[in-house]
Amino acid sequence: MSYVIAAYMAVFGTIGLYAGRLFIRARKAAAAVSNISGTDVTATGASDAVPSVIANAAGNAAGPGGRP
Amino acid sequence: MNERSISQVLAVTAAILLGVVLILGLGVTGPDVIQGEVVRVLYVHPAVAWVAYMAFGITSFASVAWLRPKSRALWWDQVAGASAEIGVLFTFLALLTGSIWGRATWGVWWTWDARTTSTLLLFFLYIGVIALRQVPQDRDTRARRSAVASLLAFVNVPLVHFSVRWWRTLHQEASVLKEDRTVFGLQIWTIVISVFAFSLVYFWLLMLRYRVARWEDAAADGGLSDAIDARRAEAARSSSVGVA
Repeated sequence: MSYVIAAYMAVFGTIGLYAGRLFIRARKAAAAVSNISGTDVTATGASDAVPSVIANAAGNAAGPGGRP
Repeated sequence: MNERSISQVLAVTAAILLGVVLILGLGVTGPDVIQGEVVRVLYVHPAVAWVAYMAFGITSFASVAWLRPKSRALWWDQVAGASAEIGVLFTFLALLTGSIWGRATWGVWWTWDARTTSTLLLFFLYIGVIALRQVPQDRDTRARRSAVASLLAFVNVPLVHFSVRWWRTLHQEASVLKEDRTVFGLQIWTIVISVFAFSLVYFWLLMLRYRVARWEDAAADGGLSDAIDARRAEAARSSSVGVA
């Protein structure tokens, strides 16, 4: 039974750790975008607005010639 | 229904189904006549292996969508990268649970069997794809290189799946999807629910990882924009000092 417990712990533990790491990365990335755009992207529904944040940032990054 | 609500529904449904898998797999189902208690590992092992295949399939689909000029969009590349990373995670879990099952059943942690070796190769191929995405390069180059690399790596997926038929291997053939199957009743239902539960976990992780990719790319673009603005301001200051 110890092999079974080890297998289940490995699966659930690894997925849990990965998901936790993703949440931390998401929080950091959201903070970075919020600092740049001045918008709280973690606010309700704001994740749907992120493409426009990307578009704005990309538009800003593109210089007068249209190339970053 | 917005993205956040879909993510929450996926997470809750996946958590409930995983709970059902734990109850069925560790409690309700009995030990196998031949394998004994170790059969319980097989309620998670095929499911994580299936999700790895699916993740790499979606990576390939997104890669083709990016390479096709008519459908080319940044988000296809972000989905491909997100799915490849999750695929690597599930391939690792398939190797790990397979190794644990092998130790209990075959008596060894590892054997250079066709299925295990081709799965290990798949794992390293997609680690290569992820590494390629980390190389400093512009967005288009990153997307093109990783799309081509993903498609080349995907050639190994059918090789992994059919390896048990094409070569004489220690790993058994498919147990559920064959006419004279060797698992029955509650065992099959536990495996089916497990496949469904881990597939939902995959889609939940994909949404989360994709969101991270979008925000990280947006932050990188914004950082670049700030750096260009600062350089322009510096250039304007130096020219005004030069004129004065």
